[in-house]
Amino acid sequence: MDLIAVSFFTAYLAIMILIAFFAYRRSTKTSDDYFVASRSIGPVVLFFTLAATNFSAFTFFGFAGAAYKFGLAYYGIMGFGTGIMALSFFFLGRRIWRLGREKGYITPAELIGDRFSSDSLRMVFLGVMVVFTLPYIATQAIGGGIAFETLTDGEVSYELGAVLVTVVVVAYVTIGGMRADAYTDVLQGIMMFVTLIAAVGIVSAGLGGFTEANTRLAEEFPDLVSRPGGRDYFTPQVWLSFMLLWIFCDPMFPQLFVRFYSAKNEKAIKVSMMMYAPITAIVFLCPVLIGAWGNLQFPGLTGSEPDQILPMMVDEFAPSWVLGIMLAGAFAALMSTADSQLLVLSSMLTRDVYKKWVKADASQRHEFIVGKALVVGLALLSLAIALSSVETLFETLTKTTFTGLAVLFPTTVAALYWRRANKWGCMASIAAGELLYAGFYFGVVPSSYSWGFLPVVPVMIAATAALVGVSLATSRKG
Amino acid sequence: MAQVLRSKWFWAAAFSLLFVLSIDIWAWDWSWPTVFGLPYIVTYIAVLEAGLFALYFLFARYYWTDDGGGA
Repeated sequence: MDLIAVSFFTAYLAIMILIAFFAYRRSTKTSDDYFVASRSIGPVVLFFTLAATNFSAFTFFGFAGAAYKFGLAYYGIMGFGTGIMALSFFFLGRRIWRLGREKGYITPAELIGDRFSSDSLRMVFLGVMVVFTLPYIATQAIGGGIAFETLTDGEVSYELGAVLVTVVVVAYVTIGGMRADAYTDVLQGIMMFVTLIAAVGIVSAGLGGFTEANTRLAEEFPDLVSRPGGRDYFTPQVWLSFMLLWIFCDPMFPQLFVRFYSAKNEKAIKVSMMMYAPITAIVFLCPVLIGAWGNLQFPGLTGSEPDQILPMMVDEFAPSWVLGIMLAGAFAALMSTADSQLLVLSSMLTRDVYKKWVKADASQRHEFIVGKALVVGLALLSLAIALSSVETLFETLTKTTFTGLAVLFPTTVAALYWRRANKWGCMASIAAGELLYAGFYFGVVPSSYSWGFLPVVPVMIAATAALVGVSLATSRKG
Repeated sequence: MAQVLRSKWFWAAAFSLLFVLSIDIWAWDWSWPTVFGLPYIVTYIAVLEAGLFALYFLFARYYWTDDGGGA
């Protein structure tokens, strides 16, 4: 275990806690302040908190692992797909922000339930978000465990690493809420950016230079610099599926959805949209390059081994203390996502369940205390999930969370734009989408029925058709 | 020109075109090296991202106005 690396990492964790106390001093101890920072987040902080929340452990480990297997074309489906997704900041984010200010919404399900005057739909919407976000939090803990094990050469176990990451995240979210979450995201976003750029520099230098690394990759692994790529992965159908997946899925991440509530003004959302293109262009390229180059140094990795290619490559070409700093960047990525997920799930259970069904007269101060307790409870639950199984990040995420949340997209668009939509149409949409997705996932529906596309394409067609068809066929008042 | 940039049809067409360009099936097997030895697909996507940033900038400047325009 390198002393410099451990010292740097300890300092990083300590700064997170200090930022939380700084945020706490500015807080007003109400649920509105704890969950959405009193709707006061300005352009710079909003951009960083959106990006840092969006980019997770998956961005570091999963991207590199996928690029190792499938090649550099992975940059296309991740970089541009996520970049153009930011157009939804205008179509969805702006209206969500306006309604949040006007009606005092804190959770996504509040908006949906209120729009359609339906507690049932509100609970269904909430349930889908909770079910598909909890495993995602567990994924961050898994990433933390992997990074810790690598950082300490196995002296700290995967399990202990996952516990430590969870404890620190719980500490600063409990102390400072959304304000701490957003402020830490600024530092974590900068750390991610700097460490990924530095990692590319170090690894490419070790391989004989940037151009040399790319040239060698093209010569030795020509399938990794073209399509269909490694294992013939990138068919046109898969390519289009991923482009659509991020557009439908990312805005439905509850932790991104509520960030629109927390914006100070429309300018903050507008600036965030503009900056999403350059940040995805640069940040997403780095792990993809390192992952693909990994074949030059560590050919033949199998199973979940490619998920560790990024730390393996940095470890190969840099002193161990540099690896420690790099891994702090990875920790920043996963912690900035996990903290937001914990907070938003806590807000949803506090507002949509506790206040709605248990204590309707709960004061903002009461909600604030319940919210903090739920952060701890949810963290323990996700940690239990993380320690129960370790699966390849890429597979876990693409198979469950992303498509599962994308199903909510038609309902959200209808809530904001289509007056004839009603609760029956929305429930039919969610039911049709999730059932079809479950059918694909468990093999009840043959994969050939997706015509070569990822399940998200037929699932979204079914969800949209159900929404339109049932809304038109039932009473307008629902 | 400014009037064109305030048309929702212009922006629908512009973003749709960029999205279609990202599904470059006409160049599926292109793999020749470009700058710094990067293969075609990486440079192509980087150029599209630059175009996307330019569109976002103009969209925010001319269409998404603070007075509630662009609704």
